[in-house]
Amino acid sequence: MSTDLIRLSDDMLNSQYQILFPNGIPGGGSGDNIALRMDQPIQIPRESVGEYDIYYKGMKITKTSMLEDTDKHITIQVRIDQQWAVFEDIKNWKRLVHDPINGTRLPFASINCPILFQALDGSQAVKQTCTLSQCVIKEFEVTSFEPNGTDPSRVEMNIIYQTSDWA
Amino acid sequence: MSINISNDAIKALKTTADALGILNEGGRIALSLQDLQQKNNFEVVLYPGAISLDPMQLGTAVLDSAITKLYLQSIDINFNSLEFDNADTVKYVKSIVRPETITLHFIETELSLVRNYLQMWKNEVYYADPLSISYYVFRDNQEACKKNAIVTPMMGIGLPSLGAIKLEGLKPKEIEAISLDQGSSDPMIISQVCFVDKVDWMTPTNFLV
Repeated sequence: MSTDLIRLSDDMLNSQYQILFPNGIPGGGSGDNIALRMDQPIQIPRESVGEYDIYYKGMKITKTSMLEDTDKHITIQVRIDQQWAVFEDIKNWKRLVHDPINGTRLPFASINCPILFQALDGSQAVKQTCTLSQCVIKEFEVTSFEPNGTDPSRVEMNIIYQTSDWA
Repeated sequence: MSINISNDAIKALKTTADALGILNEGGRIALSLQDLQQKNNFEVVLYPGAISLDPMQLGTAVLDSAITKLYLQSIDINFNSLEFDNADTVKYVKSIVRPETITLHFIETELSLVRNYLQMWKNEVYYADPLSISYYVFRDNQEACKKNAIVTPMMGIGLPSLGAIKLEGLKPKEIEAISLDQGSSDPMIISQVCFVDKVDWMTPTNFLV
């Protein structure tokens, strides 16, 4: 057992990761700028399948169903720059998905993009990648302003995706 | 007045209950090991009831399985029932009552694929002819438009389960009222109600008939 533990090597640290938008973000925005200005924790949703209960003489039997139950939402917070360039990119993406001014939206193929979360080891090599495919921005919100605030302003994006795959 | 039951008696009683409960435990374990059929795991194969060289019918024949594979969301199936006559306290079977209709619920795409397919199928029954006195003209061969379907519940591993249902003689009757709502975020659902000649579970003997 001790040799197995040595073979498994050091722990994965949760600060060693990077986020990539390999195809940029729809609308021509800079995925790199968004990735570099993230400084808040990110929670990748748990992969889940539905469940149901059946009873036998009062005893409950809980079984997994074949209905996917993953909450396919992810929240990303990004610091806003003084040129508001990052905000404009995010806003433009949302306008492609749905424009509240004229009620239009573009076809799905043109409004989605993949997002990669990569866990890195001590030598910055990629050890594991979570690919969120067909991500679409659903909502965004600028965090509140306050007279005695010392934190940078942030924009919070809520993104929905189709599949998540770890490899 | 309280009754004191000794711990030994309680333990003896529990031992007896455990022994009698082995059957229950066995039932629970047997049931927990079963894979129950999921309502959401099914395939429907729709195909023409008769071979026809009519281009209209060939058109829908080509689309039958593609449309049902991708866009069919749910299907409501009624089975045969028996009609009884009462003679005092005894019931005698009088006749078989066959189901009248089967309803297929489709989601629609922005390219109107489902609507066009259902319109093509309806045109195999009757079509609009503005030059005709009656405007709508019924086709001479009313049997050629009938389709059959095999509804197969699937196992989790991807194989068909053993209880398929065969629907014979599906013919479009009506499309249920379509709901369009300015405040809704749901996709459009089109429900096609079809006449059906025969509904039956597929047993080896039925399959060969």
